[in-house]
Amino acid sequence: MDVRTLAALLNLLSAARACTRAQAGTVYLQEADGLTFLVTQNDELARFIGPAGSADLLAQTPLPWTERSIAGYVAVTRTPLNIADAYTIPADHPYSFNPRIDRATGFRTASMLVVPLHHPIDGVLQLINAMNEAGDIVPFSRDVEIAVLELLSTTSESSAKG
Amino acid sequence: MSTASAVRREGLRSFEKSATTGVRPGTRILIVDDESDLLDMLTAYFLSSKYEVDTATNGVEALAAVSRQRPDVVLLDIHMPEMNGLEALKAIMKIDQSIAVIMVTGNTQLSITVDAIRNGAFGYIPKPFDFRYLDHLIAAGLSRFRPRR
Repeated sequence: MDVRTLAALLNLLSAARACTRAQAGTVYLQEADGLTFLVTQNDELARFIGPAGSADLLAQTPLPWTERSIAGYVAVTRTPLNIADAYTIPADHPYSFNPRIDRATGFRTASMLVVPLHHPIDGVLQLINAMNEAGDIVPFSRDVEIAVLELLSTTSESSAKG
Repeated sequence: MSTASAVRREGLRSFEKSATTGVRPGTRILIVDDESDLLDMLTAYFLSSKYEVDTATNGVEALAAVSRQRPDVVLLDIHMPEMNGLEALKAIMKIDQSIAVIMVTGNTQLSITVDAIRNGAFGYIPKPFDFRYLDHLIAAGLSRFRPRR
């Protein structure tokens, strides 16, 4: 991983969160054993324990392929997922939400938008808890989902041009 | 125009707005760099784009400027005397985490980038700048949502 790639991923995550008003977000890097946290942001946790404390807390545990995680499913199938409430995913779905991090941090995950990344790395962009103008947690709308996909496509084109 | 293309245009509106139609009046940017030529050039660039501009040449001055009047965006050089950009970033985040701080740097180590991300940097842009990219990153910083409660 070089500085420019990591910088591009930070900018991508920040822009995607600004675009969707997402409370939190993560970029995962796809590796042989699973997904590892590369860049992670959570405004809600950062308010209480600071950005560094929040980042350290969230990045502790990687997601192994053996876990039926949402991000893992998106990485393998290369298919975006837009989930209205992570806690109501039916048990027969091929992926499930693991509340481990919520339990450890006190954060409450609700809506999720999880999309595969191809550039500048192979991985996954995960956005959590979209907000409306009043600051209420809402599902990610189809419009913002398309906007994020457009943002990723713009980033890919920029990367390709070097 | 197709519906899909209309939706895409709407979705990216927040990023394009500042870059194409000018910034909201009173939008304040703080530029922090110890290179006076670069500081002058960036000041002229952002003044011409109708930003209100503050400048500082090191981290200590930057903190004084932030305390004096809250900027919407900070462009923060990493390598500076007295208080470097990383130390200034940490201090700014203690004052107000909603300020979008964009780190600016020439050559740097990966560990410094990681530290900046970990400590709440909104963005990271290497020198020399691609000004169009910088404009869009700043527009994203300005469109960042700040709940009122």
